[in-house]
Amino acid sequence: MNKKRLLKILLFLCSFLILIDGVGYLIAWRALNKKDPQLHWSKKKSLQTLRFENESLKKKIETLQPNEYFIIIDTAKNILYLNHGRRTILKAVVSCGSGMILKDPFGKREWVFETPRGVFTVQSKCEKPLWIKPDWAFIEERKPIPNSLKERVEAGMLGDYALGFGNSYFIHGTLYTRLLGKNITHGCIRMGDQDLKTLFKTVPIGTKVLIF
Amino acid sequence: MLKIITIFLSLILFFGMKTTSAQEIYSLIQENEFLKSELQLARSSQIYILFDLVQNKAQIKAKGVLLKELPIEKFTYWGARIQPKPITLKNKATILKPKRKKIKPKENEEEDLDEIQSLGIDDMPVRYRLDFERGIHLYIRPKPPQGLSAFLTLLTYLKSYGWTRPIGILWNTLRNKPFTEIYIFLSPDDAKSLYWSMLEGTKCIILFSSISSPRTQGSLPYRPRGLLSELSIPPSLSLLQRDIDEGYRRFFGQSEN
Repeated sequence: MNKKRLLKILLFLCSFLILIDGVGYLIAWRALNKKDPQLHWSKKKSLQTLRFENESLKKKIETLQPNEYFIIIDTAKNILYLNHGRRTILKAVVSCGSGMILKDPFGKREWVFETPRGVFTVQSKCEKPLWIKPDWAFIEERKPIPNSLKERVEAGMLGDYALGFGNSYFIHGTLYTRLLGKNITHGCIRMGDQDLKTLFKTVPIGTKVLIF
Repeated sequence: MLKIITIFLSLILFFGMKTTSAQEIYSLIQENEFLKSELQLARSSQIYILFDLVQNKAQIKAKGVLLKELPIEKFTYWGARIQPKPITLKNKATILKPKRKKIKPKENEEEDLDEIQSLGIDDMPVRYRLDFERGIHLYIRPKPPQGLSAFLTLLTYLKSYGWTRPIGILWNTLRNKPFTEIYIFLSPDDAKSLYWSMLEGTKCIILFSSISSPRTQGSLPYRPRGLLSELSIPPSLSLLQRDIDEGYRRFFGQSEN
C-alpha cells in the first residue's frame, strides 16, 4: 500500500515536472522566435547610411588606440609587450602581483598584493630609484615600523630604473631575476635589467600602459 | 533602344535594392549597436571583454586594442535574445573558488624565496558561472571534457535541460524578468585566462547575431543548438530541434544551407 502511494506521488511529481518543463520550453521557443524590434527600426535607415555609420564608428574606435608607444602587461603569463602602433618592439618576462594577503597583526589594516588591471599612463621616470619601504614591508619582515623617513629608504632594491604608473605602482628592476615569470611581487612589475633599460630609454612619460 | 536598356537596368537596380535581404540590414544594425557599445567601453579606462558568438571568439580589449583572443570551441544558447550592449559582471561562481593565501611574516627573507606562494593562473578554475545583469548567465566549460569533467558536464546538461533552463525561464517570465543562459566551451588554459581577467564589475558585450564579416556574411546570424545536438543526434531525428530550426527559418526567411 505504501509502495503504491509512493509510486503515485512519484508519478505525480514527474508529470508535474514534465508539465513545467513543457511550458518552459514553449516560452523559450517563443522568446527565441520573437521578432527583434531592431529589425523594424532598421528599416527607417538606408543601407548606405548604416554602412557609413558603421565605418565611422570603426574609425572612432581606431582613433582611441594608442598610435605611439604603448605597453601591454599580461599579469597571468607575466609578460610585458612594448608596442609601437601594431608592431611589437619588445617582449619581456616580468613578475607581477602575487595576489597574497598580508594582515597587520597590530591593527585592522590589510594589503592585497595584486597588480592593478586597466588602462594607466606612465607618470614618472626615475634613474637609480630609492625604495621608500612602506609599512607592509616591515610587517612582512617582522620588524618594527620606523617613524623616520630615513630609516625607510633602501637603495638598489628597485634596480637601475623605475617607471611609475600611478598609485605608487612602478615598473622597476629586481635583485631576484631567477623569479621572473612568476607572480611574486607586491603589485609592482619587476623586469630584468636589460629589458628595463630598453623600456626606460624608449618610452616617454604619458605612454599608455594596458594591464590585464 | 537605349531608353529600353536604361529602364531595364533601372528596374533591375530597383528590385535589386528592394530584395536586399532583411538579414543584411539586420547584420548592419547589429554591427551598429555593437560598435556603439564598443566605442562606449573603449573610451573608459577599463578592460572589457567581447564574446563574439558569431565568429566564435572571446576578446579581451582595452582602448580598442586587442589584448588577448580566446577561441570559443562551441556554445549553446537558451532564452531571450540579447542586444549587443554593455553588461556588467555581477558575480563569478564556481565550486572551489580560488582563495588568496595569507602571508606569514618571517624574519629571514632569503628563506622565503624557495617557497614563494602566490595566486597564479594555475589556481584558476576551468568550470564556472558568470552572472551578469539583465538575467544573463554564462557558463564556462572546458573542452574537451575528460574524466570527471566529462561526467560533470553530462550532469550539468541533464540538470540544465531538465530543470534550470525550463524552470528558470518560466520563473523569470512570471516575474517579468529576462533570462538567458549560455554555455561557452573553451580550452582549459583559455578558461583559466578568462577567469583571471574577469573581475567583478568588468564590462562585456555579447554578440550572437551576424555582423559583417567574411565568414558570416550571407549566412544566418545564429542557429540555436539543443541537447540533442550536444549528444550528436542528427537534428532531423529530433522533433524539438526541427521545431527550433523551423521557427528559425520562418524568422529569417531562408534555410541555413
